[in-house]
Amino acid sequence: MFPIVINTVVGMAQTPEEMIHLMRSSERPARRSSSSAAPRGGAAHLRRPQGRHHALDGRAVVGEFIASSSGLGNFLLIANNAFDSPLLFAIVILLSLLSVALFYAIEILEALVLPRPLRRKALDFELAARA
Amino acid sequence: MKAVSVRPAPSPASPCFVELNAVSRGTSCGPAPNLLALDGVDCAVAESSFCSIVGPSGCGKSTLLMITGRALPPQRGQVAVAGRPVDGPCPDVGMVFQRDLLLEWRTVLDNVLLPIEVKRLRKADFVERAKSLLGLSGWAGSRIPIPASSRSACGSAPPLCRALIHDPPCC
Repeated sequence: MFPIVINTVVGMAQTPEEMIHLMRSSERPARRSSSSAAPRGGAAHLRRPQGRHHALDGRAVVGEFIASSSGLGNFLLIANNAFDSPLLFAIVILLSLLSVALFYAIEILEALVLPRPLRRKALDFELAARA
Repeated sequence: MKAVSVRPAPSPASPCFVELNAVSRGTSCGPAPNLLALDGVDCAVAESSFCSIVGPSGCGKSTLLMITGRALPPQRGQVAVAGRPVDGPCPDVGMVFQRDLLLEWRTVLDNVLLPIEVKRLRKADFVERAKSLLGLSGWAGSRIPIPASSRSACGSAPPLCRALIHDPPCC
């Protein structure tokens, strides 16, 4: 969850200031906002969080390690404590498959929802972040 | 821009269309944050007149225009356009920015119609006007998507048309 929150904030902060002014000057009078409003209206939609994959790549399991009474993370702990290697591996493989499936589900959703130039920008951003 | 008084002496027949009274605002960003960019600026512009604001870079010209268009709120002072105090987004003002701010995944036509969408008006009512505005500036093929690589080749016509699309009395 944290990567999504952080990337959302980074994405919002990167919205060009002039774009916010453009959107604010285009707003309907009825939608007037308080003068201190953060990027809102149309401008907020121009950027999207770059953290698309992180939440789904298996890190959610970490939460289950710490405090849970169910779920694969909890199951993983039980298998670990019981020295049940086959079960442990089965869970790891299942988690990997789930991650891959969710990754591509998000990719497909992104292709449907985002305009192409924004996808390219997001990809550039990710490559830069990795480098 | 400090205590500038710009009064092109509007005649009684044409009352002030844009009026700024003792408007002050500090800079929100840049090399010196909270620097007072505008300090008690009074300005009156008559209807159907051209007004130019001239000054060195960073003296607050854009801030003054932003405040008039209500893209930025003044910290002190009042702004009135067409006799109405401006205390929220103002439909009477069209703004053109220093950068073209075109959304590169939209066609030129859709970029020009952006304010209409933001105002949630019926797009179909404004398509003809958008086309005629673009036609005036030599943009016949307005459905052609703008390639990101040739954005600088677009010129200032589409942003200008975008500012004029809702027929603002003040631009």
